[in-house]
Amino acid sequence: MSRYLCPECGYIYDEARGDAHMGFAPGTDWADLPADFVCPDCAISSRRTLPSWIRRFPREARSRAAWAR
Amino acid sequence: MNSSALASGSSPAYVDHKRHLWLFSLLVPCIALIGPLMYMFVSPNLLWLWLPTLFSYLVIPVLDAIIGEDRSNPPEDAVPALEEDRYYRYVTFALVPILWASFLVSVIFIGTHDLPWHGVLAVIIAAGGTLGYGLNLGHEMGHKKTSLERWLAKITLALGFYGHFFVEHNRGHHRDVATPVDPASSRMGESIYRFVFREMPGAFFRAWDLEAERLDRCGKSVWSLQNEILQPALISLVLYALLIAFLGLEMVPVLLLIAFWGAFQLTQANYIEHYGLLRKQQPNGRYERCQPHHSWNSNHLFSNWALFHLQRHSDHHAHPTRRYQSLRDFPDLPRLPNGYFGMYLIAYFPSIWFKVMDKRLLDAVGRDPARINFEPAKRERLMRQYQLAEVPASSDNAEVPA
Repeated sequence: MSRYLCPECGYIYDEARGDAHMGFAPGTDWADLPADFVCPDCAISSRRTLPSWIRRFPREARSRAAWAR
Repeated sequence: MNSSALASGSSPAYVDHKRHLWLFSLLVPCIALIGPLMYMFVSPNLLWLWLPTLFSYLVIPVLDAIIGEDRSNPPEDAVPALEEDRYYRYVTFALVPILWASFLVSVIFIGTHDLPWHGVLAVIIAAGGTLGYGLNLGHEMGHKKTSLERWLAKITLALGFYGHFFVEHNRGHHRDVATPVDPASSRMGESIYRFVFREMPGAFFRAWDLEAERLDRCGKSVWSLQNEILQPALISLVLYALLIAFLGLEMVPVLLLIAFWGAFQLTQANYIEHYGLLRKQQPNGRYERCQPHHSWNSNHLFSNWALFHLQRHSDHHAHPTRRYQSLRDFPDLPRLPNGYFGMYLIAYFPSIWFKVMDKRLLDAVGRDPARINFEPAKRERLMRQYQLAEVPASSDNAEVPA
């Protein structure tokens, strides 16, 4: 189970938790998300194109990612 | 973090000189109240009712021309504190009751006064303008991640029966912006009167499809209360039903016209925000990432103060969750010659609009037709008229880095 950080806005997709609001059940693998999945918060980061989602990030990265570019 | 963090940061001297000027975003939307209040408490002169319209279409464009533009940006290391500073979001919260009051006063004023048709029309236009400010506020708050701001967005959008904007804009328009598939991005050669027929229904159905798809994944009916289009629509339904019950059936056309004019404010904004701009299609069929040069930008001070920096649209689309106070200007952006209010006026006259904007569009995209979103029926004629050359789609045309 991994976590993926949107490099644009700081949204985190956590495979263990899924995303209840968007209808992804807990345990839904990143690979099983729809092919056209884009970040639900900013719609910038998609699965297949840049910018690529970050798999390893420090705890404070979430708030930083939103404007630290 | 709070505002004191600004002082302890590495740029100790930074003071946001626009901090208090954002109060204009509260003050300007009050304009619709002026007409009815002057009529009731000063003198029953119908000309008062046209004041808000005059202000929007004449005074603001002139103020933009006189006060001019501001291209300054907050230093990047001050931005985290600026984003966290709650003052800026309290200003947006304060506008919610102002817009509700302004809308209610306008509608009740029409319902309780015996006005000639042109008096009613004046108040309808002013109240539609109020809804336009509501769409702008719903836009700013709807992009945020806190549930309070998202709910305030829905409550504000409900005023104009336009709650689907909340879904449509974030998950639809931002995904498809500046591509031919986006009903909310206008094309070169497309007049605003043609655009509105594509934009209004297109935006609604895209929102509905997105919500149906999400609820299907959630295992819920599209008609459930979890539907984020139905939630604000129910608020609208109750509000409009109450107004009709108390003020009479003759309010039905009035409310419909106000709601239409409110929605048309958004149509106008969408029309000028991405006119003709196109994200390049990559070899895999996907469009390149949205960059600042895929939106028209305006740094005009007054209209930006009135609209929570909406006109710094280039940074907004490249970085959609940034708050209004930290939106930036960039060098070499496609730039509008006036603020939105002045540009709306130009858009009403398509031949003038094309004259003003087509040349700027060609400059902005370096006369590269692969970067122009054409109205398909006019593509050939425009290519001939501006003597544009089709660039052969060579594979060594490397992607420009962001």
